[in-house]
Formats: sequence, C-alpha cells, structure tokens
Amino acid sequence: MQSQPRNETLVNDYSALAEVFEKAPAFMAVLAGPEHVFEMVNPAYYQLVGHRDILGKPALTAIPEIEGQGYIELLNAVLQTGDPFVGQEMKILLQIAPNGPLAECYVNFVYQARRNADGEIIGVFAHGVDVTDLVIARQESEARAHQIKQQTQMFDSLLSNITDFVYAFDREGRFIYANRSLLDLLEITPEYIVGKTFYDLPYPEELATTLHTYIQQVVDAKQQIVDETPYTSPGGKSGYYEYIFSPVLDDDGQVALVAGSTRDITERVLQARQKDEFLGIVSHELKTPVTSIKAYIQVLQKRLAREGDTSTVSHLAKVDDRINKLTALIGDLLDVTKINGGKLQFHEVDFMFDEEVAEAVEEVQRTTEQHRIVLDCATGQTIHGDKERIGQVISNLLTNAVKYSPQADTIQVKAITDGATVTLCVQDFGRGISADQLPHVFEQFYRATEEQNDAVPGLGLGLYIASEIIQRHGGTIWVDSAKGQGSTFCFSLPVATHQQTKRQNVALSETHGRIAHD
Amino acid sequence: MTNAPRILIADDDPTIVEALTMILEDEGYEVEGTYGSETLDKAHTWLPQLLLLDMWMPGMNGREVCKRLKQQEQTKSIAIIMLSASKDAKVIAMAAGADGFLAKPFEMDEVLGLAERYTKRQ
Repeated sequence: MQSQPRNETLVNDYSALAEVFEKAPAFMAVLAGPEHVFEMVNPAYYQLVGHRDILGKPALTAIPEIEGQGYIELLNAVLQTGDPFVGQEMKILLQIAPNGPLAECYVNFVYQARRNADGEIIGVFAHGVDVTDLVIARQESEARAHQIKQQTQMFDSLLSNITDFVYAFDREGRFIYANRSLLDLLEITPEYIVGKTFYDLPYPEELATTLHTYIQQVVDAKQQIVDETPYTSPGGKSGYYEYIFSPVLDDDGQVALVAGSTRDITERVLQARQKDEFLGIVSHELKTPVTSIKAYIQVLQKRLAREGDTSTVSHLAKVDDRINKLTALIGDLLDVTKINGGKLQFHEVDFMFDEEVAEAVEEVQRTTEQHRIVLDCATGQTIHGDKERIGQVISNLLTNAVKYSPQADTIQVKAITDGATVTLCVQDFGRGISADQLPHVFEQFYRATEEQNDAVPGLGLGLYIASEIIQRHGGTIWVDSAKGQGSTFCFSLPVATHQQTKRQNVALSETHGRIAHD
Repeated sequence: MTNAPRILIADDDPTIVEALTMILEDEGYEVEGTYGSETLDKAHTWLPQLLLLDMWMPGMNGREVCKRLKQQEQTKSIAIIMLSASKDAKVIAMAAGADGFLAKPFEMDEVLGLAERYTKRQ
C-alpha cells in the first residue's frame, strides 16, 4: 500500500523532470559509458549542435567535428576522476547545418559524473547555456571600443602636432576636448579642462563672457562664428588669435557639440600694424621736406616781390607749382595704398554740394590762366559724406580737364538734381579719349598711351581713386568721350536723408578722434 | 613785450619754424618757436594769441597739447591751428578742440589769413 503511492510519486516526479528537461532553455545531454554515447538530449541541445541523428551514438560519431577541440578529453577526465568540470565561455566549432560551415559557438556548461546505485561512474551529464550571441556582441563592442580608442588616439596625436588650437564644447559650453597646443598655452592637463567652461579657466572675465556667449549663439543659430581677440596666457605669452566656432550636427540636424579652432595671428596683426605705421612714416617723411621747401620758396617769393624782383618771383612760382604736383602725387600714392589695404576711411558729415563744387572750381581756376571754368551749379542739395574726399574728386576731374585740353580755353561744369541724387559733369574740349581706351580710364595705373610729344605726366591714379571714393559713397562715375571731341566726366551721388543728418548730430557729439597716421 | 600780436609755432622741424617765423615777422607779428612738451610751458608763460601746432611731435603729440591747453583757464583762449601732413587728421584736430586745421604743405597766404583772423588784428 505504501509502495504504490511512492511509485506514483516517482512517476510524477519523473514526468515533471522530463518536462523540465524538454522545456529547459538550458541544453542538456545524458552521456553513457567511455564512448560517451548520447542517451538523452533535450531540444535546446539540438538547437546547439543542429538537428541531427545523435541518440544512441558515441559523441565522436554523432558530432565528429569536436575531435581535437578538447571536449572528449574533458569528458574522459570527468569519467575517470568523478570531478565535475565547469566551462566558462568556451569556444566550440559546430557544423550546425549538414555540409554547412563550422560555426563558432560559445558555451557556459558543466560536465558532471553520473553514478549508479553503487556509486560507480557510468557516464556524464552535460548541461549549459549557449552564450554565443552574448560573447560575440561583447567581442564586437570591445572591438568597437578599441577602434574608437585607436581613432581617438590617432586624432589626438594628429591634433597635438599642429600649432593651431583645436577643441570642442558640449551644448552648455563645457570643454569636452582640447588639443596639446591649447593645454600647453593654458598650462593645464587634459583631465582638468574637460567639463570646464571659459569662466573656470584662465581667461579674463570679459573675454570669457564673449566666448561663452558665442558658443550659445552657435548652438541657437546653428551657424559658424569667426572673430579675433588679443589674449595673454598664464605664462605671459601675448598675442592675437583668430578663432572659429562651428556647430557639429547630429543625425536629426540638432547641434550635438561645438567644434572650435584658434590660430595665432600675432605675426599678421603686427605686420599689418607695421605696414600702417610705415605708411604713416613715409607720408610724414615725404611731406615734411616738401613742406619746408614750399615754405622757404614762399618766404623768398614774398621777400623778392617786396624788392621788386618779379622775374625771380615768377620762376619761384613755377617751382611752387611743381611742388604742389609732387604733393598731389604723394597723396595719390598714399590713397591707393589705403584703398588696396581696405584702409580708406571716410569722415562723413552733411555738407552743401554747391559750395563744395564752387570751392573746388575756385581752387583749380587759380592754377590756370588759359582756361575759364564756367560753373552752373545750383542744386541746393545736401550730401552726406566725406567733404574733403568729394572735394578731391571734383578737383581731380577739373585738374584732368585742364591737363587734357591744352588747346582749349573753356571747361564747363554743370550740376543737376532729380531730388534723390545730384549729378555733376565736367566737360572739356580737348583731345578726348579713343573708344578702345574709354573702358579702362578708371582702372588703377591706367594711363592713356599717347605719342611721346603728347604725353601728360601723372601716375594714372587719380581717376581710380575718384571712382573708389564715389562708389564707396553709393554713387556712380562715368565718362562720355570720343577722340578729338573732348571728354565729359560725370558722377552722381545720393543726397542726404533725414536719418543721416540725425545720425551725424549724434556722431559729432560723441566724436573721439582716433589718431591716424596718414 | 611789445604790443604786436604773439604767435607761437610748435613744430619739431626747425626749418618750418624758421620759415613761418620769417613770414610772420615780416608781417609784424611777434613769433616764437618751440616743440613737444615744452609747448605747454611756453604757452603758459608767454600766452600767445595764436598757436600753430604740429600734430606729430616727439615727446608730446599736438593732440594732447591742444586738449590740455583748452582745458586750462589761463590758456583756453589761445586760438589753436593744428598742422598735419595727413588730410584725414582734420577730424582729429577738431575733436581735440582745435580752432582750425591746416594741411601740410600749406600756402603761406592761408597762414597769413588765419594769423590775421585769430589774432584779431585790425
């Protein structure tokens, strides 16, 4: 009576175990005898080794590819010693599909000795889990990490060997990378700079604020910012630096980080400054002796005139005239150098156009006895611009008219206005300009190529400077001419608006003269 | 000290000072020359009616001299004409408080015209 329920229990237990065996996610195999004959295998085991006919067969026959992989030897050892073997992530090559390639698998498993009622070892119970996917995923991620590390090291060593500063920030303006050059300048370690903003580093507060604000602008506007700044390092190195902050976008087009690079432009800035200073010195050095010569000539003229030596006075007048030409040439050369260097500055004011024209006409009329300059200028308009420079243009056109019409006796100057612009035309009745030369007259260093005896001295800079001045004032300059028919040079300028006049009043009250060499 | 109007010339080029002195003395002005930072002392002690002041001088530039003289009670009534080889310097001269500007090289007639105007000679 008692044995039956126990048997039933055993049967129940056995079927429960069998179900576990069948449904377990772990693979299991029961091996018997020295040949390790498969007595039982569960579906997970078939999953591992491939669905092949292995029951009742010795291990080497059932799964021949394991020969030489060490597993038979491990089974033999368990069989002999009775000691279990635990394998972790052990590699096994299995031919899962018939005639297929050997697949690399990884398993965590246990070989346990099976004993009979007498304690004799009769076989091995093998069970474990297939961890192939896990191991391969881990290997791949390790390989990727290694690759990334290698690339990072490569970029870092590349970037460390350039003198420019290269760095990157997160969206909040914290450093995430800085190359060796920048770290050396700031005298800090790569570990220190990561996570720091400009405020935490050796930057003056004002500069830190500017740079930090720029990073936010790059993040917000997704646009590059380029600027330059003077900077003195903790080690006392002073210089000028040009920097570029650029957005680095992620796949969604959002700013992931801000990349930056900075170049030391100290040399360039100093050279530009030296060039400016040199120009100032040249101007001063050339004009100083000319000023003295002119002053003495005028002293002599006055004294000799008092003594009645009119002949010498008239000779000196010629010298004085040539000195004025020399002064004009020095001025032209300096103007062209300024234009080419982008340094031609205008001091804009409101002025009466008619007055400036009359002044220039009067000035040029004094230099010629042969020509009568006929003036028709009553526009009543106000111009907003550099009065001296516009006057220079008018004088230049008038001087050219005198110079290029040696046989004529009249120069016509006429100004008109349409309310929005004024147009001034200077007409001479001289030699004119041929059609092939006409398009070039406003070019730098262009001079009409004339026969030797017809040549007019000059550098060919005046009209180039004039056109630059007019264009920079928003105007246009042009010429109508034909060979032998005289020339008419005209320019037009926009008249001053009320806003400009208002602005000028503000500007005048705030003028701080910046000393400029000339 | 005579009753003739006094004109002080500040320029580091002695030939400019000499030539201007000759012209102005011929016209009956009392003229003295100086340059650099000495200009301030000379202006204070001699109190000219007019100062012809070069913008570029070693030691102290004309702009600084002009500003200081115009700030001080005793010297602020001295008329100052600034001289420079740079046409663009006119704006600087006016910003420094100068009464006029003369580009170098200059016409003596212009100098004489300014002298007459600023010394209020009848």
